Amino acid sequence: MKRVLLFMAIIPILMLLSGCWDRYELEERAMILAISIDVTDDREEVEKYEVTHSKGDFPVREDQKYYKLTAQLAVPGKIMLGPGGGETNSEDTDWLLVTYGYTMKDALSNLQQELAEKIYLGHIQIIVVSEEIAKNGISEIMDFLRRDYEVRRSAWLMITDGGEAQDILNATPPIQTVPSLYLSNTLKDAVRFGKLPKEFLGKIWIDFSDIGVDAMIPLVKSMGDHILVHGLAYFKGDKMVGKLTPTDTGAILAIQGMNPAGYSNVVETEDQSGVYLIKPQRRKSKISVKLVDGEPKVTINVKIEGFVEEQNHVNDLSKDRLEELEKTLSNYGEKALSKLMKRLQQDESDILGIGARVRAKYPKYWHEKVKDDKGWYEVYKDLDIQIHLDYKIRRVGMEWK
Amino acid sequence: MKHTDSISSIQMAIIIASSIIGVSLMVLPRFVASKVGEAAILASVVGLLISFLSVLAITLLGRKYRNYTIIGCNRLILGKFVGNLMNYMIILLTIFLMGLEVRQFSEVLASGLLPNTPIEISIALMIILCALVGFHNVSTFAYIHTFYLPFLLIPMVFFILAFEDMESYHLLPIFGHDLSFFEFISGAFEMSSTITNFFVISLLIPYIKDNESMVKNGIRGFFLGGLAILYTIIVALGVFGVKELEQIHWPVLSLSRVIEIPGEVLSRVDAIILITWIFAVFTTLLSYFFVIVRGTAEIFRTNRFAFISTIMIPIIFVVALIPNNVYEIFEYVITIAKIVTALFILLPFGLIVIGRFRKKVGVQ
Repeated sequence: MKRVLLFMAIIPILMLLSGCWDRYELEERAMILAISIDVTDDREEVEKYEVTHSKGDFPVREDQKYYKLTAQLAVPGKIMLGPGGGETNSEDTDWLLVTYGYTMKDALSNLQQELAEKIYLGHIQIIVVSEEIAKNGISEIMDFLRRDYEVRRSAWLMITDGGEAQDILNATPPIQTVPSLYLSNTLKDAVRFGKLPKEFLGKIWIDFSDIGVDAMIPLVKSMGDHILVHGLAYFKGDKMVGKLTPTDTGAILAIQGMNPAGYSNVVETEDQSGVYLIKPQRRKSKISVKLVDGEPKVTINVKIEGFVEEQNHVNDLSKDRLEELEKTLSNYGEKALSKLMKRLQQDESDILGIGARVRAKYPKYWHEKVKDDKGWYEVYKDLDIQIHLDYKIRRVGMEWK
Repeated sequence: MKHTDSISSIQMAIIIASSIIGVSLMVLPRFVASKVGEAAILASVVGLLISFLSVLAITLLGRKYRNYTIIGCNRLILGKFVGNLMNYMIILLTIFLMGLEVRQFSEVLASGLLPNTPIEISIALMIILCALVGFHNVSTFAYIHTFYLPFLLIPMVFFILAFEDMESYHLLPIFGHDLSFFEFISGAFEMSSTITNFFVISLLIPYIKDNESMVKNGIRGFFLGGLAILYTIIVALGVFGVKELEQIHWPVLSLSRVIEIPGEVLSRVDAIILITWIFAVFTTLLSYFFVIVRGTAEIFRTNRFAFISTIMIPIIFVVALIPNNVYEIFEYVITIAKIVTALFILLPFGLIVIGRFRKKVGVQ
């Protein structure tokens, strides 16, 4: 009798312990690999769906935005892994779906209504946001992404440089089987080779939350069947206020002391006879904040070690020449960096997190004079920032001269 | 009480360490940071020291009355009536704490891992799992903790990979912004109230072989667990910063999602962290259940552990279902945990002092 009872107790426990309410087979999931978000004026499209609310019931604000969301879905079974995958074209493996909505979740609910499989966001690689949304503030589309547990913090957020965000997802390069993997790899490699700072979704969220730090987000441009990494968009609060070219991006990375360096520097000799391309190899920087007479003062010391990549018009590389180049580069670089810094200060975008450093080092000053983000922008605008650049050229490549 | 099985004081140290690393680890960085801001590290250290007082008091009491558990001590020193009143209170508070901790655990599962699994199932299974262990043998309990401890500590190595995302301005100033002393101490106290369940050792005292080194090893075990918790808080604070920590529901879960292993050997570390966290939850809950079952058994002077654990399953299950939403859970947890912390600092010290006056000597 006791045995029977025990048996009866064990069976349900075994079944429950291995029970799978949350079992979803791969074929039952609509795997979204990338989404792009645009604003649209087409209100009829937005009002057409009646999924989360009845017609006209959505509490529309005066400045209500109407979103157009494009999702790139992976077609299960079509993606070939390993060798043999070369035969499938990227156009066959993915599927672009366009939906509209008042908010992110509204749009995704509408999308779900069109799909048989359950939407799965766990493999999302790319979120492309149009420049227009970025300029009006992107915090509205962030809440859903933060709240949803499937979205990974390591996904990439990009801003389009003009044009529609949807165009980015249309980039279907012939060499990669999955377009969104191509896009995310492009960004990942750009970070690895020092062309972009490591600004993924999670980092951007932290920058938005932090006091005295503004976010920067990679900027991309559609080139038809591929994309161009076109620098950075810098923010003030949750609004985009300007763009940095790739050269400026390199400068920002230099100020941050990030390695490796992705961009070469062009320099002309003093007598204008030759033009050289120098590639930075190792960079070090120190951003120090000091309080002088009750006002913050910032000194940024950047040290760069580089090597000669190319010599044009002349053939006379020597020790003296290198020293001359070093001097020109240091002077010119200092000016360029200071100019860039001035621009950021004018636009009140503190992407280097100087405010956070002041707040961390001088909490008393912060509470008396600055108080919050708004107070900081006032201080930041006229902040005394000194940049010192020390450029050293160590190597010249396979050529002696 | 006669007994044949025994454990060493090193095993006791391991029990302390694996008990305090538990459910609360997921939320601790947010708890502390939202209370004291950037002073979280310092407040955690002070909080750990407050808890440390309790560990010290319990082990000192144990050294003095080496044949009695805290239940027995209460009866011996405070007399039958007051002592039993205390004992009932300990058991009742532990039941509530365990219920709420199980609920917290299943809330994480429900919103972060298994959205469609009914929350009742994950609650019930965890309690049943604890009940299945059986509490006849103290050494079995010690072995389970010893077995799981490496699984709790080793995956924390992964957090090293998050070091590169840490910012110094997230950690400074270490005294926080505009923080009054009272706010600081209440933050520290909150920290210590989330790691209360090392008090399971107060029921293990008669079983410890090497009574002399108990205090020493108790301190070691506590610091092993405490350092692991402190390390997690520092990494979470350094990566996220206070403002972001206040936003995130489970910072450590989010932290494990930031981590990427170089070379992409594993694409998601969060699964590993979640699994180890489930081990941590299990050992923590097991300690609570141990207190409940062994404590009740001693109050009623019986050995029918299986019977008591079976009865306790539905009781804890019901307690776990009391809170209506995630905010209420934390409200209840904090209130009850604070009482428990105060009780487990004051009670052992009080017993030592009163015992001296009443000249009750435990060592025969």
